[in-house]
Amino acid sequence: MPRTNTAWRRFAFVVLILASLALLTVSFREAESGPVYAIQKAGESLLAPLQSWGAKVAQPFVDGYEWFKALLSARDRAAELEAQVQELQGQAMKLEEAAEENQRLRGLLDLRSQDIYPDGTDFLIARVIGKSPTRWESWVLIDKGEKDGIRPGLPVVGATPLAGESLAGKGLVGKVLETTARTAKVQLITDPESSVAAKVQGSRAEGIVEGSVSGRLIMDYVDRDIPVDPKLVVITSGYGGVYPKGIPIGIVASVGEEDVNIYKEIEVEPFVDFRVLEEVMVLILPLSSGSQLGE
Amino acid sequence: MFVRNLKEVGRYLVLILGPVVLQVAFVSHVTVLGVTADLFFITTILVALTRGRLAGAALGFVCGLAADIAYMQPLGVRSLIYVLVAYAAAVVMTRLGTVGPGAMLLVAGGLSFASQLLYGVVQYVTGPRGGFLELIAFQVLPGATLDALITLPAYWVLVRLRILPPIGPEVFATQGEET
Repeated sequence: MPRTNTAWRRFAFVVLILASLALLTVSFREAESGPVYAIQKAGESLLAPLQSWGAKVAQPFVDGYEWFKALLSARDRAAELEAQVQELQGQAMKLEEAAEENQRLRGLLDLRSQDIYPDGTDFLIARVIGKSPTRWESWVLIDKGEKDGIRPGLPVVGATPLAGESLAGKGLVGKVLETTARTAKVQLITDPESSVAAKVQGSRAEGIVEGSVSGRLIMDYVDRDIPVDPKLVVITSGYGGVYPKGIPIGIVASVGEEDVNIYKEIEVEPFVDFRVLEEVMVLILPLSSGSQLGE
Repeated sequence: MFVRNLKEVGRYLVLILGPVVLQVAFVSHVTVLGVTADLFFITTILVALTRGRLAGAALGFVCGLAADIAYMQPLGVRSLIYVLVAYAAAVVMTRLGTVGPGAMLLVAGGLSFASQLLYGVVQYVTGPRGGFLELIAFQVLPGATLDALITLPAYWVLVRLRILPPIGPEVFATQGEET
């Protein structure tokens, strides 16, 4: 045993170190059923209620501290959140735009699935990249051209978001008028120079749908003896060799008859809303189908 | 004499049970700089500085056991570290010859850094591996800073409550005898 005070203290210090090392070794080597482990478990069970109680008591202080911390960083956080809100608003707008585009493209696909096109017809979706600047003419410029197989005279259909009628929003847009390598000019059926051979579904009435400067569609040359009721659907008749038979154009809005005129004059409300036209589908008909300009 | 001894026992009981209760019930729930203060370490340092290396080492051993139990760590890890820390604190104090507030801050911070580094090494060897620099940046340095900052007010409170004696020439004399 150490004899002096200092030696005894050193001895005690060494004993404490050795005891720690021994405990450490036993802790790592001992199985879970061992005495050291049992002592530790008992200690933990004693402290557990204290921890639980402490957590409850400390919670208001912790909350207060967190609140104070949050207050200090509130300005930065507000700026950060504002930036996030702007970003999310941008994303929401993009998503909304994508949903609308999806709806329009789905409309185009609906048109495509109709069994009215000649065999061998290809379908090319194009984006509208420009519009006629005046009402004297109605056309749109699309981002596909000769390199994509587009040639003058090909019919073009489109879909725009419209509620109501089952065919609403989906119908004939016009025909390709001119092409460049990568763009094409599409004459709309509302163009004053446009004329489409058409017939009224549910009736034997046939005629020519013509555009006008006012943007209205007029179906002319309809025999006045054939009854035509409003709300009937007007479709292409297939005569003339440009538009395949059966493409929806619009519905009969009103029927006008003049004593001096041997034909009825029917106002047609187009299915496609040309003001919001963003995508179109060009029907690339096989060359043998005889599509040509001027109907 | 008996009353005096009884008071001394009472003081040690407070020095052991106080950190256990405060640490487990309150301090471990409050995070500052991403870490929590270690009252076991602070008590060990203060006892070593005011009562000498043996008292510090003995209290460090007991506090280490309590900490290992409270934190569900293998018994003996913190005991070993706190015994070494107490010894080192007393040695540093003897070498300095005086412990003013600044020196106490440095001693506490430095030894907290060393003890946490040692503990980190043990964890690194026995537990999941982590980045050494991350350990320093996110645990050791903030922990050492926090412990150092709490050591001064803790010393002031414990001296005011007469649980610890103030650091004076007689303490240095005792420490000097031991070396």
